[in-house]
This record gives sequence, C-alpha cells and structure tokens, in this order.
Amino acid sequence: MSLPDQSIESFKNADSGPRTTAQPVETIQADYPDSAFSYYGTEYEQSVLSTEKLAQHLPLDNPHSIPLRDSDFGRISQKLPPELVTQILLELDILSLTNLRSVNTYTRSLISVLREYRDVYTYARDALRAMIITGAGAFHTIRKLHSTLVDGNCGHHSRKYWTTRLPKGSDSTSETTESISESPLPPHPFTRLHAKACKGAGCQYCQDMKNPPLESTKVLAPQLYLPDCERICEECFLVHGEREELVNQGYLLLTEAEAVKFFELEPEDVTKLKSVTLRLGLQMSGVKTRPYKHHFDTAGKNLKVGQPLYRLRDIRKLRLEKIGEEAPFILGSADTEQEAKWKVAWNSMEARALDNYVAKMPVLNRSTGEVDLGSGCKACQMGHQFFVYDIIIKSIREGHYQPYIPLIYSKADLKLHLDNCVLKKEMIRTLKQKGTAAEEANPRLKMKIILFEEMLKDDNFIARFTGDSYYPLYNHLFDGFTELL
Amino acid sequence: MATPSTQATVKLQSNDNVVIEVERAIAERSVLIKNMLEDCGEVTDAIPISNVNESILRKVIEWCEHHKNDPVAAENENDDSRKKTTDIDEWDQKFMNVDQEMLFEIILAANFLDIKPLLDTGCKTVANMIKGKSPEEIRKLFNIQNDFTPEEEEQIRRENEWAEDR
Repeated sequence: MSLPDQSIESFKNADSGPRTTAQPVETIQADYPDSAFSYYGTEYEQSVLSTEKLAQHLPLDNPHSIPLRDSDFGRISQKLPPELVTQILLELDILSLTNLRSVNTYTRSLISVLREYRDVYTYARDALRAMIITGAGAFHTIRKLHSTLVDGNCGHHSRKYWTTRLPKGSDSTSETTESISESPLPPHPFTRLHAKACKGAGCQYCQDMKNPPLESTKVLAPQLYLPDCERICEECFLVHGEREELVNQGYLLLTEAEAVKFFELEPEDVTKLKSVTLRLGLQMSGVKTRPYKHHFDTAGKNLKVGQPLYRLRDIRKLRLEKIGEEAPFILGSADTEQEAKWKVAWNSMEARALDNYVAKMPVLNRSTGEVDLGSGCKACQMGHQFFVYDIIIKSIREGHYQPYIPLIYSKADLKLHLDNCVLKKEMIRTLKQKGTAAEEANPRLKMKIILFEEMLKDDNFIARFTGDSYYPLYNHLFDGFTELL
Repeated sequence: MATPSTQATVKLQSNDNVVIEVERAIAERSVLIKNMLEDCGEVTDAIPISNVNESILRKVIEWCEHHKNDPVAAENENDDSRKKTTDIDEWDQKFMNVDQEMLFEIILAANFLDIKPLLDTGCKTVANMIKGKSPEEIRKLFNIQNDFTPEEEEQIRRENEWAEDR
C-alpha cells in the first residue's frame, strides 16, 4: 500500500509555502491530505540516493537468472569444505564479492545463496547498490553491512514494538505492544532484520543514540552512512559544528585538494587513503544553498563526478602521523590566531555534503510483510513541539515527563498511524479554529505560522535558528521563515 | 572436569606419526587440545592430530608460538572483534606467504584444531588473494572454469557496470 500520487502531488505543492495559497480551499479543508502530515515527499527523499537511479544504473541482477552448471570454485572448493568457503566469502569486501559473482555459475550461485548477501539483496538492495557505486563497498564486508541492518541487541525497540499481542483472554499482565502494533508481526524468516530495520536503530556516531533510552526524543537512525557502513541519525546526518566537534570527530568527507590545502599534507599521501567516489546521478538536484554556517548545504558545488573523497577522520589521523600535530575543531569563537586559522579552514571546506553518501534503510510494511522506504509523521513532530511544549516543561519540572519518540513508519503503517494520530487531529482542530482562508488553503503553511506565533516568544528558541548553533534538523519547517517575518 | 594439570609440555603426533613436543601454553592456543587437556588432566601420551601432517603441524605450532601471548577473545565479543579487524599483521602476512596447497592445509588444520584467529587469518589471506582481481585473473589463480556463455557474460557486465569502473 502506498500514498496515492495525487496526495503526494498536493504535498509537493503544499511544501512551496506562500506561493501556493491559491489552491482550492474546500478540498483541503474537507480532507487534509495525509501527506501534509508526513515526511513522505521530496524534502525527505532528496536526502538519500535516488532509488530509481540506483536501479537503473546498477541492476545487480538480471530478471533472467543464469542456471547453475557443472562447475566449481576451482582449487578452493576442491580443498576446503563449504563452511570454510563461506567464511572466505564473508571476509571479502562487497565490491570483490560482487566481482566474484562474475567468475562462473558456481561462484555466482554460491554468493546468491550466502545468507548475508541474500538478506541484504532481498531487503536492502539499494543500500547494497549504493555501497557498490560509491566505492564504499571496497572497505566493508557483506557481513558488516548485514550486521548494520540486523542487530538482535536492540533490546528496547524490539521489546517495545515487536512483542506480538497475545490473544484475547490470555494473561493480561504479559507485555504487549504499545503504540503501533494493530496486528501481530507477520511470520517471516527475516524477523531480526525487520525488528531493527523497521524502527530504525541507534546512530553509531552519537553514542547517546546507540541504545536509545526510553526518554529519548530523537529520531532514530534510519539512514546508512556509506563510507562507514553505519547507521546514522538525522541529527548527525545534518550534522552541525558542535556535534561534529564533540561527538563525531570528523567522519565527513573532503577532497584531495582540501586535504592538501588545509591539512598541509602531500597529495601522494592523501591518495593512499581509502576514498569514496562521487557518482553521476547521485548528486541531488534540489539541494538548496545556504550561508556557510550551514556548511553541509553549500557543499558540493565544486565537486566533480568520479572525484574521490577522503574521510576527515582519516585525514586528521594522517596529519597526526606525518606532521605530528592535531587539527583542532574550531567552528565557533576563536581565541588565538591559530584557532582563527582553523576556523576559516573548517568553514571553507566544501566537500561535506552527506546527501550523496547516505542510503535509506528498509522499513517493514506490516500489512504485506514487505519492506519499503520509511516515512515519518510530521504531525507528531510538529504537534509535539507545538501542543506539548508547555506540558513538557511542566512535566519535567514535576518529574513525570512522558517521552515522545519519533518513528519511521512503512507507508502502510503511516497510513494506519495517521488515521489515529491524536496530534494530527488536534492540529486540524486548531487550524480550523484559528485559520484565515489563505492559511486554511495550506495546512503546512498554517502549521508553520502556529509554530512561529508560539515559538517566537522564546528568545532561546529563535537563537537556535538564527545564531551560530543553527539546528538543521528542523530547517525544512522554516523554509518560509523570511517571508513570514 | 579434571583438576587442572601442571604439566609444562604436551606431545602432539601428526598423521605421519611424527611426535612433536610443545609447551602446553602454546598447544592450548588450540581450543580442541585445550578442552582435551582440561577433560583428561595429565596426558603423558602423544595426542594424535589425525588430520594434520608434520610440516603443517610444525607450521601451526610456529604460529601458536608467535601468538602465545595474544589475549584470547571472549566468546560473546568474538563476532564483533572479528568484524572489525580486516587487516592482517605483518608477521602473519609473511607466515601466510606460502603456496596455495599449504595455505589451504593450514586453514584446514586451524579449523580442525579450532584455532579461530589462525583460521581467520587464513581466510583473510585467501580473501586478499581474490580482492582487486578481475574475474579472469581469479579463474587463473584458482584454476576455475568459466562456464558462462558470451551472452551471459555481457549480461553480467551490464548488471555490474558501475562496480567495474570504480
């Protein structure tokens, strides 16, 4: 099940802010499209490698399968038992493994039935494709990619969301699912992947997200950061300076020229480092440019297709080895001349667009048992900020804070969720109460206005969006900021 | 389980009936031997290593000697640590610089004797031989027959197009 195209279209229109206020009022008033309340749309999709382009450029497998003939793995299968052959395959990086499938029909089918390959191929094919075409697959094994997808240790989430509801009449004290489980988990051989893939999982970079506590209010990590083959949460994906300095220690990517210029390294040393390749068709056309302090968005304009990029982390390590000096993160205020130099350097680096290196993770569609790309509920996030704002402050003070955990849903689940989303209902009610005709015509615009009316009273809140500590997680909510003021 | 023995050396007998005496600590890099010694207590007779010949056994012992002070990975963290280390250290690389026949024999022996780090190193070595080679080079290296038709080869090339020109 998926959202109807028309609904997606109206969502796209709604996204363009004040310019689309001429839409027929009655249609939207009568039926606020679900898409208005979800992240399902261009702004979310643009952040990841395009599925369509990936499949077009890298089919990975042809619809006409090649039959297994009477062949073998040469000396390897003559000498070693199958379990050891499998172990060798699991030591291969993803590119070599894919390459090995071209050797003969035996190696091809051997890899096709390899559990890790088969699972990833079935449920996260785009992640596999993205690993291959960016070259990131040269540094990670299929086992690593698989284990990033599947992690039985995600105790909190599997417990909270994946306990099958017991039949009526059974022991009522037993644990049951809390929020989204309307039907029992469909029986499936790949349940462990589902358990993790469905609700995202901890971000590898900010350790507080690794095993998200119940009180976490952050979006879980539904994206795969290709260079490291790790899950990454939205905040790290749209990383801002402080987080990079304190938590990530530079996992972003730089060009060779930047490494040479800013880190005073020799080009030949830099080119020996592992690199990730920028691919044609991966650069998203709709990436907006913003002032330098939002450096991720300005990135990419001078990059060329096929250009190798190096991990900042590796470059810093190399600098320490070769020059014996750290490269300190100075992104805010600089006290000394040296710090000022680094501040300029950090803010001048251009190759730091994560958009090109992140693949989406699969989400389980609970109705069909299939996996699709996920969507988030905008009403939950915005509604939480708007309606629950005062309540949160109050409840934290009073010590009974109720956590809100934003979730990534499969499309079918999102549909189900939106039918019952209390915050969506509350939001529509408020819209109807307060709205003018123009605002009614565009629920998203209206939501923005409500947010501004409330939030702008708070100086600290404004500072987060206008000062140095800009919080890009929410930037899409404030596209109409200048027009509104 | 029997009480731990204080015996300093053990004798290992290869399948070609050569007895080699080694320090117990070295022999215990093999989980198979370790468990056997723990179960049996004092063992004065040579332990038959029925699947391994003398030259391979000596080679394996050489590896165990070099790695006798390595920390033994705990059961549960085993998977994680193995995932993370993709590189082979310099000594191991030299150690594994042998012909294919011997390399496969070492892997088999490591598997039989249950010496996980050696098995991993062996598998990684074979994997490294495959890495970065074209299908044709891999075929030559391991004497693999190509049974694709020309049409199928073209189909596969298209499937993996971007992978090839990385």
